[in-house]
Amino acid sequence: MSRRDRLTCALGLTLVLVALTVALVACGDTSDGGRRDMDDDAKVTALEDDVSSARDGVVRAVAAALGSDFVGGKRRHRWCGESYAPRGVRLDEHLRFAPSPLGVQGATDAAARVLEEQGWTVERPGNPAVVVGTRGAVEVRVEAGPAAVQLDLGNPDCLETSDDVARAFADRDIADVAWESPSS
Amino acid sequence: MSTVVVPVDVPALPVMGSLPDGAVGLENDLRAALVNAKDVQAWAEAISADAFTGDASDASGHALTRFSRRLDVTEAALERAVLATSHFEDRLARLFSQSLTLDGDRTSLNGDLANLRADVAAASEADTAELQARADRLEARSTRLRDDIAAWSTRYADAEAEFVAALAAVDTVEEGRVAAADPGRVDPAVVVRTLGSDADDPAAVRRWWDRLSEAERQAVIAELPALVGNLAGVPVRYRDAANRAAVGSDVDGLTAQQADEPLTEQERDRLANASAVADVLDDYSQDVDPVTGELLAHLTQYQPDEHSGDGGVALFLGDPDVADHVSVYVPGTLSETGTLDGTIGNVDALHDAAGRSGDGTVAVGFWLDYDAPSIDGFSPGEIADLARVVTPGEAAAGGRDLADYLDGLRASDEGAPAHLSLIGHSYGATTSAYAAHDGAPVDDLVLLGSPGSPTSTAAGLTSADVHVGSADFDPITLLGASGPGLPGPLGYDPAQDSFGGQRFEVDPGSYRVQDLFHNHSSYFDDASLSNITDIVTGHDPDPVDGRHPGSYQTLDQLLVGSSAVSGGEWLWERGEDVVDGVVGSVVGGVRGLAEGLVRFP
Repeated sequence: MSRRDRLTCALGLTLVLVALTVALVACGDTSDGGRRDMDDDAKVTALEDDVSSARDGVVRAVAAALGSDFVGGKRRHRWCGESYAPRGVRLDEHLRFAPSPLGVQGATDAAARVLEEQGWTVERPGNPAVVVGTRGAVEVRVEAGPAAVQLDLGNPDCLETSDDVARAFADRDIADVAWESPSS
Repeated sequence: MSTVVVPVDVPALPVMGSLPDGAVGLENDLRAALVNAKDVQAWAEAISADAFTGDASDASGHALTRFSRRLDVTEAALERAVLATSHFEDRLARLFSQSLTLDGDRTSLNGDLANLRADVAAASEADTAELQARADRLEARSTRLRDDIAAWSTRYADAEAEFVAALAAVDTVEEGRVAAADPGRVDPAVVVRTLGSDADDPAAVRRWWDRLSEAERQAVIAELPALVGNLAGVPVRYRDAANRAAVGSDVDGLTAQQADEPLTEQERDRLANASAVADVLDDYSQDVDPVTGELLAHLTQYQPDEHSGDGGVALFLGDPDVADHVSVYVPGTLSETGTLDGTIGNVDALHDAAGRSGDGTVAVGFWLDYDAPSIDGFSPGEIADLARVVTPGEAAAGGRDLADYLDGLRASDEGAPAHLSLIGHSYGATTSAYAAHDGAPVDDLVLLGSPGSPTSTAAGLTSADVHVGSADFDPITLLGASGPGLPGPLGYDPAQDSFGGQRFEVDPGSYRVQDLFHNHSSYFDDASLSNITDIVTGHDPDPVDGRHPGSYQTLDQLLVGSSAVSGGEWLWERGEDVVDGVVGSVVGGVRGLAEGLVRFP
């Protein structure tokens, strides 16, 4: 068999196998249908509740301890994989605050202390300006700098759902995070 | 003991009410208004009066000429405002950097003063002279530092005052007329001509840009944002400014046009692409570099009409011109400007992970300025577009453009050369391999889920270190594994041991046929993400053995085997349902029988 023939065979085999796979995947994706989507919707709602609770609880406490005023924030809705296989969802709330008067070291120390006091598992990675707190599926990442303090909270590990649920989640509009200061 | 006079602590610096990111935001808004005004002026000048004849034609021509001149007055005022804001932003950036230095000195001095107070409290009479000498030295340091802080405060106040004055100088129509008639006003066309024939040479472009005055740069950006934003060699912060202006112009202009008349297909594609990019920029509008205060997102490429309407776009989180580690991710099939969710999610995850390491500053971006096979519907053209996934033509063409883009990043890099890594996924891995083969100046090449490489060995591909992430149960990576020494339709499998790349640990994936594509889209998770992060920050990933003939499942084996497993699961689940149904019927029948017997008199 010539090299050209082998390439032709390989190409043909590839096309057949890819078509077969697409067909199988399509069958597999519809096999458990609506019931799974309802379960997944409930999981997503629970995740959103957990993130909102973290924002209204430990994040507020961290911001207060740092003495940093809220500047703005965005809530991001994303799928985990690619458009043809989204796999699940990731929620990320990005919150930006003014720099802390405690300085970078003081701010990260204070953030770690608050997280620990509220029962979060605290990690200090190699970057001394970063503190990470974890509770359940939710992670709070605090990064302090001379120009800003930024907090990201969400689920770094993919929450697996059906592809349809993941697509619907990622289709949501970008949302500004509402933040009312304690005095208002 | 005699008294030792210890100086009081140096108070904190005044808070900067204006920060660089605020100035950048204002500058972008002013520039967007300027570009919009230029668009309208161009439209007015292009309108033909042929629809009229006689006096009506003359009147129409005169009206449009007057309108165009009035717009020119507005543009001249906006040009000065943009330039003033740009200068202000530069000054703020310098002042902010100086404030960090001063604050560090202050913290150090106050610490020394605290130590001195503690020593004084514990000292005896015999120590007085030595302690007072220490106090005097600290007093001298304190005086110098207070003077420096006072000078810094004056410079900051001057910067704000001069900025306000510059804006106030163009806030009337008459001042706008004066600005428009200024013989020193920059003519962007003249400036661009000085580039000559060097537009394809990123290093020459960088030298040209460095020679321009700030006024010339701003004039060219406002007049030709599409040129500057995509010109390899121009510093990234200016490309970002130009591309943001172009995006804003497209969204505003086409949205307004859409309200009056139907858009052409090309205009609809352009608006969709511009809106998708604008959404990403909005998504990151609150993300700043916590050290410098500058916006995190940098739009380094924006070509909304390219690639059959799919558009071309590249964006960084972080500034690649100043970062220690720079990484460019190239997504694969089905990626286009309108579907950036997965791509930006991967970039964000990697930027976050690399930023935690503390191994230097990091900028992570994606490049999607090639015609990745995609499908937006089921027209013959779209199906033909997707079918190109089995040929390397687009990867080869994209690889050349990608290499040029990376040359541009090298040319605009400041300071010591950054550690540059190129990460390709799926068809993007093949594209990245072609770019490396074309001489892309990268230190590390990472091929994720690669369907094939143009050469049979890493050494034949590039002098960079080649790393391969290939899940055992990712069917796409097996496309290139047709057999020993045999390429697949897109080239050779880089995960083969004979290829000579360094394969690293990734999750093998699920052995169910319905999960196989999920396996292909899981490289930015868990162990794989950790290893990619190591590569991006200049470390070695956890190695695993490359594929040896006979030691792995080929594509047909994987498809047949995983289908059998999934089929078995399906039967098992349905079997359980059947058993549940039978048991339920039996139990229900027995219960009904028993209840009937109990009721029976």
